[in-house]
Amino acid sequence: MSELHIEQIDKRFNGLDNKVLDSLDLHIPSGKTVALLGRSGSGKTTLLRIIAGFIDPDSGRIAMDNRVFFEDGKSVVPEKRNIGFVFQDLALFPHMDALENIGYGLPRSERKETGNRMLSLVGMAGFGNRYPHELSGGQQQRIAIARALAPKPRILLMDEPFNSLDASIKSDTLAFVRKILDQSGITTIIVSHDFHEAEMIADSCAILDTGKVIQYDRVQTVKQQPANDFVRRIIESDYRVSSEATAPGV
Amino acid sequence: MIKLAGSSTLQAIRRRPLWALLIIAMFLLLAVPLLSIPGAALLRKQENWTHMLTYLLPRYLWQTLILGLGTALGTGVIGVGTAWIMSRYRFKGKLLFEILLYLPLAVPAYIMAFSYAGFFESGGIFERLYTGLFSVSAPNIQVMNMAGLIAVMSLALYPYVYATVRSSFQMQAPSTMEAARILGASRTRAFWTVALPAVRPATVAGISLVLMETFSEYGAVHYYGVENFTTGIFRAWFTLRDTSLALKLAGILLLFTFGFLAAEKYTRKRKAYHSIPASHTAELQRLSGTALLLRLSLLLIPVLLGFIVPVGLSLYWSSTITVHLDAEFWNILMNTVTIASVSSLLVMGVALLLSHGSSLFPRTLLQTMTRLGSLGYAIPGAVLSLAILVFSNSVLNLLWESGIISVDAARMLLVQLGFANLLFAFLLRYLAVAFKPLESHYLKIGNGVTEAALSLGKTPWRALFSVNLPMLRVPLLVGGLLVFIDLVKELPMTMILRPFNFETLAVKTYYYSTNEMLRLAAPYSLALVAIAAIPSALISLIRLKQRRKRG
Repeated sequence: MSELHIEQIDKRFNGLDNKVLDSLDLHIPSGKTVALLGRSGSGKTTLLRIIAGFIDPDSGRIAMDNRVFFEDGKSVVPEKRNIGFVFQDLALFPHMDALENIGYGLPRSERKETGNRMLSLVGMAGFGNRYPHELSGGQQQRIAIARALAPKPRILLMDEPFNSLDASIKSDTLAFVRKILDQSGITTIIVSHDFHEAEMIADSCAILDTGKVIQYDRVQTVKQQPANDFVRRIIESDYRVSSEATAPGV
Repeated sequence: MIKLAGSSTLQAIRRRPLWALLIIAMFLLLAVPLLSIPGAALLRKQENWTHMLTYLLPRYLWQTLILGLGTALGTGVIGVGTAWIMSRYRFKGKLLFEILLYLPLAVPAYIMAFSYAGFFESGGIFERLYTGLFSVSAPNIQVMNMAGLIAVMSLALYPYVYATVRSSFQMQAPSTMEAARILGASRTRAFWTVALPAVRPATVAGISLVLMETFSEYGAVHYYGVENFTTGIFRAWFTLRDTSLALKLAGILLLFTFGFLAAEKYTRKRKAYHSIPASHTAELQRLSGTALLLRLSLLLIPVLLGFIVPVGLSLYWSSTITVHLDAEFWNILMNTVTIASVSSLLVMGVALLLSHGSSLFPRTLLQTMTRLGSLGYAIPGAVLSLAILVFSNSVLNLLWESGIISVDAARMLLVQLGFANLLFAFLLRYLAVAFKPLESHYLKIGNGVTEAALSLGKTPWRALFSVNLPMLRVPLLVGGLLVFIDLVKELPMTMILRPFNFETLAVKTYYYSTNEMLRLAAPYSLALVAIAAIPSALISLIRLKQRRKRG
């Protein structure tokens, strides 16, 4: 379990005038699940990708416990950060079966044993030799979570992982993921555009708008005392995901 | 199930008899000549077969295999490597490489082979340059062997792999590479274990085209003294005058080609390689300093060796003689442009009709027939030519024996059939090149557009011209240009089927070069490369425009 410190992060993409992230501060306590909420283009995914190390901020500082990931232009590469990531499109490797996918981030000697244990953990024992295209959307989701958790990361990042799920299985999957996160006790950040989703899975939520955190508190507190009209509209899910992508990765 | 498929096919034929007839006729046109190969091979005399079986066949098999494997490896490394650099990095001058990397497509392997043989020959340019620069005698570099041939074929054919893999890398979801990195993989491990396997189908598709070309190559292979099946067929046909032997070799080469295709399909098994839809575009890595220099050199090497050096050598040799661009030169140039243009238009027209016809009969036997009918690209040119010759001679014999035509008429027809045979062979061999882009376009847009036009009272013909054709302009044009390039460079089929005294730039270049007259060959090879380079550059510009449109 680890805590994450995000301090004064700025990010601007080439060719765009506005900052995607603007002096953003966020502290994620150890063992908690925090949901990042906001409309399209508010910087949620960019923040997640900066924490993972896929892109670097223009300035600021990111540290996990006492280990600095980014400061003064110096950056630790993604493979050295010990972070788990569940992608929006799941990003399962299509040419590897479920067990090989889960074992990818493990030392060769541990792949089979840990892989099978993770399969059992996500309720997929016996599905190890199935390829991703032979699994349903919900099953693929479980494999993606198992793969991210297998190397025992210190923090788990999830980028709108429930978007592609059918409404009929979404609430079951959310409850299941919540259970897994509780069991593992891992610090988690989950990007979402749906407040109800956040309510089901997160302890706290941070509402982002134009690259700034405008409210960060326990989910129930945000629900009962929204900081302004914008947050109220987010809670009422007025801002659904729109297709207007304003910058790569935003 | 079979009954159901059969009845739906019959129903489809009854509904649109003209379109169905067109597809069946095209299928039979390809299938009948090819099916005549085994029969004709078995029925004819056997005298050279034992000698071939004992002494030559193992050599042909072995050398075809080595050449195929070597060229597959060479084109794979160059094609995938250049595609990776172009897809992952951002650097100054990238736009220029978008065009340059396709240009070796305009240089036929045999011209490259002649150029390097001349460059490294005793007393040649390399020797003089080396001695002049270092004041010591130059090392004796032998290129006219298997290794030299593999290098030449790889430089001439890598654009096939580059083109397919480039668009595959482009479509790959960047999140899979990011997933590998976040799971602890270095850039190198992520490339080998995730990025590379994901482009395997594209790599195999590109390498398959390369192998079809390699199995079909005659000029370069013969000149470098390597003996593969195609040179064997030519020897049996032109030197030994043994049709039966040529047909047997053709049959074995056909088995070899289809064996390769089946083996690839088998090794894929259940694995899926289709890309997941990208949720965001990949951020290109900016290059500078040593990293930029290294990558630029890697991109420049195939362009330099595959285009600039052979073209430069031809220019140099042209400058050492007084070039007479006489009537013969212009005549040959016109022959080349005319036959390539007419055949390309014919191929484009048939491909358009077949792809549209096939879309009218989804999930029927007719659709399968269309796909089989466009398999000609997998059949080496020499094999196809023999099949067509045997077939057209058999038809004439039948007509003469049954008294429908006189001996004189049969002889006259035999002469006149020359051009028809050539056009027919080009159509069968290159149909797939124009058909595939159209077919995939139809698969992508589905039948909705055609069905909408039909439901508004248009006939399939009107739907084709008013709705589909405007949407198909780009794939049709790209397919047509690719066919044109292939036809300008085509050698083995033209050699076997051309009418008496009909010469093309390829035939003339080959004639002069194999008779040790590289200087005389140079103007013809330069003209050939120039004619093929224009459509190559056009294709790269069209692809670039499309990529930019897709974002």
